[in-house]
Amino acid sequence: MSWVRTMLVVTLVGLLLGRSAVVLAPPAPAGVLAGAAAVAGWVVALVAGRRRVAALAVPVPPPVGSAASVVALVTFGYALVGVALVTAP
Amino acid sequence: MAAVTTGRSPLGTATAGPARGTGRIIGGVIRDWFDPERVRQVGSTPDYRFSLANERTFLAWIRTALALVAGGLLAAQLLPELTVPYLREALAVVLLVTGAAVSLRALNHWLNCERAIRLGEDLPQSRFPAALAVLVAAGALVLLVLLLAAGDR
Repeated sequence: MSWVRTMLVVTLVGLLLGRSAVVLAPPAPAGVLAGAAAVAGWVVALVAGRRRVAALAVPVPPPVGSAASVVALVTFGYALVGVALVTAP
Repeated sequence: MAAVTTGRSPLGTATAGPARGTGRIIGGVIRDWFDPERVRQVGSTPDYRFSLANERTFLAWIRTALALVAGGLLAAQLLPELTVPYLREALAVVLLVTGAAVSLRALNHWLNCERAIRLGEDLPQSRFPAALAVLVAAGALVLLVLLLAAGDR
């Protein structure tokens, strides 16, 4: 459930970032790049989370592996793209 | 602390002789972020329930980071113009940067805890949660004052 909750929050923040790309950024290319980053990060995090949820469905689950790094770095990337959008002239 | 004096990364896996430079230690930390499998090279495999608890704590920190990022994005989009110029943007950037810091700290703390669990050591202590709580509370108070001031105009 922790992974599912986290994926839901990643989805929400990805949507917010996509909206910010439309509302805050100049039309192109910054807005397009920010929107693409939001979608790419969401897909990557979702795939990593889905794999981890599947791996947890056994009596003795394996170690988390790279899924944790992926989700943390997607979150970090979302924050950086957000800063770029907010500070864009 | 051995991690500093012997030049080991926080996972204790990369040793290249004593007294490595700070840059190489930071490089080792960043390499651990991108290759967390290296944590399995130290110590012994613990009871999986400990690792799962550590994973749940990590995910809770990631949700905190995502909440801060969402707060920053919403502040930039939905807050009215405040009395001080660019204060709205500054507030959004502070929230976003804090979210970025929390996400990296979550990853680093998860790796350090995993290593400590595998080595049977005490879990690492940190003032980061207290500092974050103070920062969020102070930010909320400042925002409340500014919004009340804007409402009086």
